Amino acid sequence: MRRYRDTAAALCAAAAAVVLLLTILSPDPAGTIGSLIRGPFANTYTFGNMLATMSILIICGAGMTISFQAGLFNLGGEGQIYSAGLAGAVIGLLLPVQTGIIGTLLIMIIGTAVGALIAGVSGYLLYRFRIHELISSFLLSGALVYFVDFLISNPLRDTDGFLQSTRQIPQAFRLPSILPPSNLTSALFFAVITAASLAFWLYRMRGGYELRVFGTNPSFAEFGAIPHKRYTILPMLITGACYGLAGTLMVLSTQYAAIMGFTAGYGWNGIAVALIAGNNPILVIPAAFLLAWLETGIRTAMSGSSLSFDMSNVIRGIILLSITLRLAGSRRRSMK
Amino acid sequence: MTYSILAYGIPILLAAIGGYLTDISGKMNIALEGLIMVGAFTAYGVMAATSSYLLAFTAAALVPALISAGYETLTTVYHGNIFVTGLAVNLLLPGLTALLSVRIYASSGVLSLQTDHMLSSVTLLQIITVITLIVFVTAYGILHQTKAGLLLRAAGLNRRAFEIRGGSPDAVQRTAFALSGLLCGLSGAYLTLSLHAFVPNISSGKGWLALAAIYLGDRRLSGLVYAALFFSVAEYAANRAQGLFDMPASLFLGFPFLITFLGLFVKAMFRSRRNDHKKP
Repeated sequence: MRRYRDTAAALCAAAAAVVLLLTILSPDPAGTIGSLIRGPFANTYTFGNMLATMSILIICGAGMTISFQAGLFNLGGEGQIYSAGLAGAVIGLLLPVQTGIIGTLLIMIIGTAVGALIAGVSGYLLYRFRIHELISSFLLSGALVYFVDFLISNPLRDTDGFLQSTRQIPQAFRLPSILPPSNLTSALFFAVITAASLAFWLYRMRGGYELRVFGTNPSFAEFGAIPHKRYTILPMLITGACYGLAGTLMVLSTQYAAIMGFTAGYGWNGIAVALIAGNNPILVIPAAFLLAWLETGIRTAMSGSSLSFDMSNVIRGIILLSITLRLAGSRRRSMK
Repeated sequence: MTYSILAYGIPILLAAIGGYLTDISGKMNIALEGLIMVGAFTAYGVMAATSSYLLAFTAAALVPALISAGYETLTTVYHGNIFVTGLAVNLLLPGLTALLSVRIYASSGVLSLQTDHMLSSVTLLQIITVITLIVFVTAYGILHQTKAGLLLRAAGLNRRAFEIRGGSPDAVQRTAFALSGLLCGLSGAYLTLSLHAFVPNISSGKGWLALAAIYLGDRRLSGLVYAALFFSVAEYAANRAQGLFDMPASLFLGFPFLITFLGLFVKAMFRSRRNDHKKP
């Protein structure tokens, strides 16, 4: 119960901070806050886009919970999403159109594998050489983001378009739309399945149990003969796979191509969502809804302003900060 | 060549010394990147207002020091995870500088300094190099020769023993965080003042490289120098190569990250092989 109170207190603190910030920064605070809250529900288009953002956030967040539950920190989400998205787009351009739905599945599988592989490298390096996964995943992702930038803007660039992006994948591979004209597709379905199956694995199956034991108390896990190697590498693989899936789904359902910089903060948001959800993959769904609401709200409220990216980052920071600080339960805890 | 290597390496080294102090105190500050940005922005603001280098450097050192100690205190008091709050601060601070830049200077782009008597980049580099040398020697002396240094290391080595002996590891760690903020601030101030401008993303990953330098330098103070030197030489070589082979710039922006990653990997591999030999 206390955890929910903590989360509620944290979200209230974050909301207060956001309102304060907008009051200081916006020329018309009431209007901005109003459109931030109402914006996503204004019409089918914005509502659908909010759900589309939510789908991606669910997958990123659900994946991140697995690392966190094992006591691991994957900071490489940005690079994993970006590389997987590019891999998906490239496969989509290479495959013959006739493969249809099988092609779509193949794109998703390869993208997922790319994400898993990148994060898995950090997991392996942690296990084998004890290189801190936080540092190695961030560095690898930092290098990959620029490398993918280079691939998109140079050798793979669609020279007919104005955007820095690859060519668009054929219609046959795109996911079916749910709420046209918005970006919502059956990606939402994949998102809910991912969250549910990870929650089932984590709380109902032996592997998930062992992983949680390993995360809470590694020496006890060792005593119980829980393989150290498996639960250092596997959680990183799962998190990376989810980021990879998220990246390919963004390509398959929203932009149909790898566009320069399309990941814009999803790696960080995955961490925020997982923490709001208290590292429970099922609670990731409402957490992702909240964050998607906020993100879409900021985008509508600040449309046309170059500040929306900085603003999102500031708000992301405030949310992360207030979530990890246990504002409500602190006094009792320190008295213990 | 010496100039470019020092100009690239010194800001990393300063921030890395700060990060190292927090690392040995038992709690690592991963918000170096954001703190450098704050230092750079504060230096711009104070320099633009007062045209005094001394004031600019002082303010740029104090503001991030306060922020750093402040977020560490919040994390301790409210039982947060220092990595998560550090990450939050890293997202928060650069965004905040951009918002403040628009609010105060009505520009989200390059803010250039127009003062009459600006020091040349070379003079400034000499000044910051001397400061860094003093910081390095002082840090070395304090860590290995004084009681304060012993306490700092003790807090990181065994927190429980430290508490039993009657000390407060929290106070030690707070001091380390304040110092790391201070050094990041100096590093950021140098970046702004030598460029004669504040640019969005002026630190461009230097805070992260500073963190990596701690690991690459084997968690030793002298190791930081080698790591910073390694980054600078690699960056210099990459820049030369870019000029020679006419490669696109985006390919080289990721180079520092890649080379650091590979450096960590190769070093860990050698160390593990050495340990394998030692085993009977």
